Amino acid sequence: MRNLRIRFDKTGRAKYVSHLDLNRCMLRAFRRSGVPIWYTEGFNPHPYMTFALPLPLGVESEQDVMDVRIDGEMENDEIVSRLNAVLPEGLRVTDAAEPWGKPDEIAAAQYSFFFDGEGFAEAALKEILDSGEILCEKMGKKNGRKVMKQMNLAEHIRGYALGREGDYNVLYIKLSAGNKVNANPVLLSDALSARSGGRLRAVNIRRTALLTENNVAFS
Amino acid sequence: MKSNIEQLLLQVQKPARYSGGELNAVVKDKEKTDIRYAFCFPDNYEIGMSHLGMKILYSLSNAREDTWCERVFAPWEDMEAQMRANDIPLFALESMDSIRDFDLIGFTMQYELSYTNVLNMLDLAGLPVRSAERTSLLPIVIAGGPCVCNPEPLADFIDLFLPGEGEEVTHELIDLLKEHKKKGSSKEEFLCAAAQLEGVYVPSLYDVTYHEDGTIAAVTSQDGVPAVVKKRVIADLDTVFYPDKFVVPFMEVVHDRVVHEIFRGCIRGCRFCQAGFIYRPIREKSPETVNKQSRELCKTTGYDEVSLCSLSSSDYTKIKELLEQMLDWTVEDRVNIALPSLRVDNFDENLMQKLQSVRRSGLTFAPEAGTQRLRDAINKNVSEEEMILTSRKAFAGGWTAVKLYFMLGLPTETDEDVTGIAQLAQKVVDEYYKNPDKPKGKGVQVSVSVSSFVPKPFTPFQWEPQDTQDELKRKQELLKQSVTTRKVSLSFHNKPMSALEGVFARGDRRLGRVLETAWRNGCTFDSWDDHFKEDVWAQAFRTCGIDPAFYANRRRDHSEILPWDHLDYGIRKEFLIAENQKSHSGEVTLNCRERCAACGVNLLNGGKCDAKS
Repeated sequence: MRNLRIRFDKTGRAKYVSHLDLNRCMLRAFRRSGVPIWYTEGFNPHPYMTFALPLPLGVESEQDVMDVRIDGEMENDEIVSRLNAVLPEGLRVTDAAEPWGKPDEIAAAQYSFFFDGEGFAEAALKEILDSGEILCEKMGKKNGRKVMKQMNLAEHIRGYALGREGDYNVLYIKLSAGNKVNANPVLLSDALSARSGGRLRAVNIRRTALLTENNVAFS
Repeated sequence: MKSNIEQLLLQVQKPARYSGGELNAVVKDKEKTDIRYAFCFPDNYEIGMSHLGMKILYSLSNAREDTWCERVFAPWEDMEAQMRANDIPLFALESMDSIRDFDLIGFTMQYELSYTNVLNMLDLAGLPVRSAERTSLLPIVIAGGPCVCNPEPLADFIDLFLPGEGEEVTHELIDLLKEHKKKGSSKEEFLCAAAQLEGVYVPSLYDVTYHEDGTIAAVTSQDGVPAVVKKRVIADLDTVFYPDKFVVPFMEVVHDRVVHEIFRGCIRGCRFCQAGFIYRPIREKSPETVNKQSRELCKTTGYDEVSLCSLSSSDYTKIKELLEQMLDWTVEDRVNIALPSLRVDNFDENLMQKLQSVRRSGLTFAPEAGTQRLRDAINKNVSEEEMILTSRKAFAGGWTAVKLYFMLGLPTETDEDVTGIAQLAQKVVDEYYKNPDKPKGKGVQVSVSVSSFVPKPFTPFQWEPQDTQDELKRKQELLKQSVTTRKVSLSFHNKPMSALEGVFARGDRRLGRVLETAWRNGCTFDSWDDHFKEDVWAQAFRTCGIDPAFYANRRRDHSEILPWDHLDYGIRKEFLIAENQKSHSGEVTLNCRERCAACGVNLLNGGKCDAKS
């Protein structure tokens, strides 16, 4: 048995696959691929599979990370090609390697927000991002109970830049991420849209990298 | 993906219902196909994606190079609102194209309470709901499935029906449509030609007249059109098409596994059961074929469970051979085998031990009626002794929960039969306490689930009145009072919906107006508790001047012309009348394997029926 870290892209229609569904989808892909995945040895044997940082529904990702355990001999390159042969549209494995570090080292994530050219206002966007206060509500826990909590997203912006890709204006933004503080890009997108009266509505969001506190790509 | 649709997906619950792109979904080049076929399931994605018939016909149609078949489901209310607000017509999941521009739109009719969804889906597609108002050749709107054994309530909306099994007639119909599309025929020309195919019913070519009392006077076919339409039957299940791939959904659906049918039809002849009659004759699939195809499906889908389905799995004559063959690979590949509808009594215990999923599932009996007298009347051949004996074995094996299924409102039912349900449940409880080795400190739980009976076409009860809601409510109260122990829990599935189901199951063409009125006033997803609008339906019946009791609660004479009499499901009417009379005199009919009851269906299949050994 050995640990294996698999990096994959989840784009296009696959962005509507929820985290739980992705888990099931990947397990089935392993079963179809013939890659010898390791099963736990309990009363109810199941494969070991874990995702570094779950992605919100509707967000694309590049270089996403999942860890699995492999049983038996198979070269990593073959694992990659076998998985790609059986994965559905929008899911593609880019590489497989021995893991380093643990997912709790993730401290931030890099995102690209795509805006239509129409109605895009760079100055307005900057003004909101620099305002120091972008409030949103998120589900949190207080004394074990679920409650709505207020969060200031502006506190979790770790830098941003603006650019253009094809027909789109793009906001490249780094947000706190991980199991301590996780700033949800969908909430930020909703807040931008609300603050601008709908003008700054991202048509697509893509997570492009997971980063450690030292700004090293987690992979 | 189309951006206007994509923008809606993040505004709705469960976008994976609408985003497509699942594994094994078939995407073709639309420029290179002659026929685009929208296969529609008139309920939500989770229900529709669980349906085996759709998987078969989807793969079968797509195996043709000239046809691209895509899946369409009824959008949930949140999505429907978004689509209507943003002018997005109903689209197919593979191409995201509007189905309005397709050549063929097919609905599978699995239950009567999905009828309003058919109208709603046509409307969402931007098409007139009435067949007569869709004047061009394309798209042709067709329907199949068990409900079309009485298609009359849908006659105003559907261009043609396909009674019976679809594997062969689908090909014939596509060939014909392709030819007429090339020729530039009119819709009428195509429909007249289609009516000549065996197993095709074109309702607009039949005229119905009525007596003054509302019953049917005559159903007359137009010149050159067959007076009676025979359902289609597949002769050999070993050679008929079966998919080697299933579309694997991302989201969890109701039946999320490989499903394999082991035989069609049923030998039991329970008089209330429509499936037991309309899927005859019995045709078994060989264990070799089932084993091979199941293994292939597991490989192409990655599923870890195979469900072997039929109307009564233990009546499959080669069940032992099949399981032995399958266990050769399923254990190693970590695949579970599920055997629903299994009778526990006569089953090999060694084999059962190996079937994990069987071992874990609950112990369930479906006696359907509380007394032996009523069980005889409905020809449900489960005896009290058998049940008690099996319960005893199960309790000795450590089980502590039993589920019992019953129906209220069965023909000839008396109050004694109703209270008999409570007594039978009590006897199962008593049996538990007779077991000297029962687990310490653990009680028994007997769950009694009670639904209400709906008389259906092509059954011996097709002439019987359905109990009124008031009568059913009275019987429910009586049953509640008869249960005196907490070890027995009662749950009722008598929804006012079953009254509506009864009306449409045995209704005629005049109900088309009611259906349209109810739908226009907001009825959709009627089989869902939280969507069913009883008052809107009641109002629709009043508006149209139609009394639902005429269809549901009236005893029909054996000589009355029934709305589905011009469809031939192979079952002789004399046989059904004899069965009806036997039920009233409490006589049972042996199962088909013990003695052929001469129902006549084998004649549809060249005289062949696998019930005969």
